[in-house]
Amino acid sequence: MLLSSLVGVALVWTLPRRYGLSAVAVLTLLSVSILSPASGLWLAGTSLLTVLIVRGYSATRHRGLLVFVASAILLTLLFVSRQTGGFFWIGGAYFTLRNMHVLIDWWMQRLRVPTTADYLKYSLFLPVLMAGPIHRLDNFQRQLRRQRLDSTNLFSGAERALLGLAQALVIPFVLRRLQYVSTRHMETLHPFLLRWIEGSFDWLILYFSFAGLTSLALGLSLMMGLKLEENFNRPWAAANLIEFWSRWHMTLSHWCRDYVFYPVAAVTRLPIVGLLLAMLAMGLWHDTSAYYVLWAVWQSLGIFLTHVTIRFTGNREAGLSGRILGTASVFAWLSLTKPMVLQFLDIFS
Amino acid sequence: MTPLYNKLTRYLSPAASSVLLAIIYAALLVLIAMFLGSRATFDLIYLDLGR
Repeated sequence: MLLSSLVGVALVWTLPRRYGLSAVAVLTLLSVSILSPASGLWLAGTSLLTVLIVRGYSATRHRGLLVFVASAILLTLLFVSRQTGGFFWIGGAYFTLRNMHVLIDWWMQRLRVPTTADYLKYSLFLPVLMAGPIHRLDNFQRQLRRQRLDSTNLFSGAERALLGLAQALVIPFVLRRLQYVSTRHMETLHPFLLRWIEGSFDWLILYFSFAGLTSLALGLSLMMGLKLEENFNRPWAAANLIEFWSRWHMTLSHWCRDYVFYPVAAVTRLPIVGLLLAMLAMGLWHDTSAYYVLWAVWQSLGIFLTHVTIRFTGNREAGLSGRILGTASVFAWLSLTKPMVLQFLDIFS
Repeated sequence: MTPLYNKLTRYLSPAASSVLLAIIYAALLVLIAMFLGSRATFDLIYLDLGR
């Protein structure tokens, strides 16, 4: 996929501008289909379904019903893909949310209806297929109009891709070794503490690999002249858990905020229900399992407690010591996720 | 003019920045070549995220 993306950059730079990103879309479908024919079919089918609805049914009065049925189909396919072992799936968690974002925004009339070609360029954009970000169609359309192929974008993008790839490969490897060495002689330690240490390393490994791959994707996009949404905004500088979730995997958390939290909170008038369902959506997006249901409950509890603390203490601007304490408390809460959730699962099982 | 080059030129002369940048790129490429060789590590990270 990495090599295909580089071929994509070459195509964008050599072909006439109007054909460059269309060629990338074809290349995406070819690359995915070669690696995993079922994923290729899934990607092509859901993209065509979405664009068919958005382009073909603008005049219908039953937009809501249509979006509901299409979303149910998209989510069922994602769920089925998770249950079929032995198959090798690519990028489904990302393109399912992209298609749903387009459908919901079309239903709410917040979207400029794209041409079929523009939609396929958006949906079949190779650099972001494997590890996001879950970019939005309106920004992509804006970027298509502003696409700038010049040496500044090419070299800045290449540098970011290089740094991102190195970060995703090297630092997680070192951390994994460190995790192995530090837990190797700790069999006698209480399982809860052992899981806590593992949980701490897991978050760091996830951050460096995921943020690195995001940089790789954004760097490759920039080499093609497009500036897409950032996914991380120094999450470890967050002063509390609420701030952390607005800085970590931002395109996913914004998706859950816009399409789960806001509607649920508006309908029920209970923000806590919206929060719980948004975190549940985020958890189940990672994996459909009991672990991630409890993961969502744990994160929701953390955010709720942060709200309560802020209400009682006031939202004062934290000094240096406050920020250090904030970061430490955020990391402590996150690293406790694994041992706490596994402890609950042990009790229930 | 890349972001890293701009950062380096804040502290160093343009010529020294260029040399240092070339060394950084070379080191990164060597590291990537070393770790990309271990496909298992790369696939584990990359494919697990993109499920």
